[in-house]
Amino acid sequence: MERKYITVSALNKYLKFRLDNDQNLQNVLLKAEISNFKRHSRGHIYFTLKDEESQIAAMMFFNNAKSLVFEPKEGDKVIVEGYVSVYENAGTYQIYVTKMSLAGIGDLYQAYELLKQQLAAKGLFAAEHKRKLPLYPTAIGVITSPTGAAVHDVINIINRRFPLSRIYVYPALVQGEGAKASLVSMIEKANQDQLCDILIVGRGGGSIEDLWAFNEEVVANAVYESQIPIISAVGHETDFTIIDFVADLRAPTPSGAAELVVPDQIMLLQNIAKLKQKLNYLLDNQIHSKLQRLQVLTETPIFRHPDRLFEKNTLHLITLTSRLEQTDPLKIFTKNQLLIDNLTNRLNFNFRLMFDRQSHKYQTMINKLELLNPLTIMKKGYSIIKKGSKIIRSVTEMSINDSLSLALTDGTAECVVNKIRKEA
Amino acid sequence: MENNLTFEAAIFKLEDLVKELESGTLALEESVNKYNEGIRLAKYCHDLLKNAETVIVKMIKNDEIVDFPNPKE
Repeated sequence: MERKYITVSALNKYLKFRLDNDQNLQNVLLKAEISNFKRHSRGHIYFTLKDEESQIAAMMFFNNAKSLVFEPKEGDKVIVEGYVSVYENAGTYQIYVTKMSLAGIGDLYQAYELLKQQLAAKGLFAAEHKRKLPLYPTAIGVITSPTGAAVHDVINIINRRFPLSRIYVYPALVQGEGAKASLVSMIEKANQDQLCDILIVGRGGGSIEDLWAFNEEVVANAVYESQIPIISAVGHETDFTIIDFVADLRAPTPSGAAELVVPDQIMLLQNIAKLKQKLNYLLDNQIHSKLQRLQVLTETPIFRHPDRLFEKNTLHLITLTSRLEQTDPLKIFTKNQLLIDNLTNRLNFNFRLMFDRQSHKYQTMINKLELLNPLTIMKKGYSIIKKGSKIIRSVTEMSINDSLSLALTDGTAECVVNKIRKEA
Repeated sequence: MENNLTFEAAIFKLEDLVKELESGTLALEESVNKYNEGIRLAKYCHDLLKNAETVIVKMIKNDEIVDFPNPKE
């Protein structure tokens, strides 16, 4: 019997064929620990999955690896989903991992709860930090995947409700390992650009792992730090992500955010019509009330009997005229002139009286003086006797042989005392 | 009329005018002026919405602003 030799390639091809057609190997769920973790430059990852006794080579293509919500590392306990196949070139079999998460969803939930508590304690959820949303945004930033359905839902709804707004799409990775950094950088970029007055940050629904980026602390911080108000819009209606608590408003879905971010133009047109009606009503009202007032005024007695307006004033005028007459300046002048004449007469009379009296008194004094003049007395036979310059009034003042002088009215005489007789 | 007025600015102004008229403290001449301005603003807001075309959508791509597929009509 002739032996048939086959090639290595054929063997490996056969093995691969057998494995690929084994249903059990095409959908493997595995619980294991990671070791020998390596990342290929193209984004594929290579690692070993092991338990206490055994191990298997594992790889994950970039396509699947980009959705990982955690950074796999040595020693991580994981649950994986994948299929087993042969790598023909090396003749090795390995598990091709399609999904991988940290063992126990409980861990994610714990991490979520812990972070929520920490951020709440730091005040990231505080109501007083919530910014006011613009009522009529002029530009809306949408930070999400540019390829998902979410972005188109948002655009369509805004277009239908309020097409005056502009939309700026900030393309971001919304799941997988690079998502948190991408979301953070787009939030920061939108704040630098200052194009928008409000931001929507979100994505459509997915598993808790898919949405994980929106539970990351760095993303929460970026939302908190944003100067532009943010509406969070992440997936499922019921689940809250961390950024839902930090955002200024939480929408249950991206479509929901689009409904909240702009007013509905149908309502706006109704509102404008209402305001217009109000304007008409208010002006009519004012004119009407002014007309009414005018009518009331024209019917008052004053307008019906304007002559009565003067009655009172006429009386007043008469009173005033008579009072004015009493104060006629010519009369006042005449009255004062009389007073002046009177006073002048009295002054003249009194002066003359006083002058006459004084003149008489003077004459009397002159007469009296005349009587007392020594010359007049001497003319009557009296003379003045002097001893030297002293006037002699008594015989006691002279002695015998004293030389005396006699003064008469027409001259003096020198004489000597011969005899002195003193009479008692 | 200020043609560059944003919708927001115009409708806020319109609402303010209505409030002023409601206050009832304006002289008739002022009221008429405010009324005329209000009617103009209402028409302006109405026309802005009525004449609005499809929303403008742009994408920020590597620091450049590029067009983004517009919504389906």
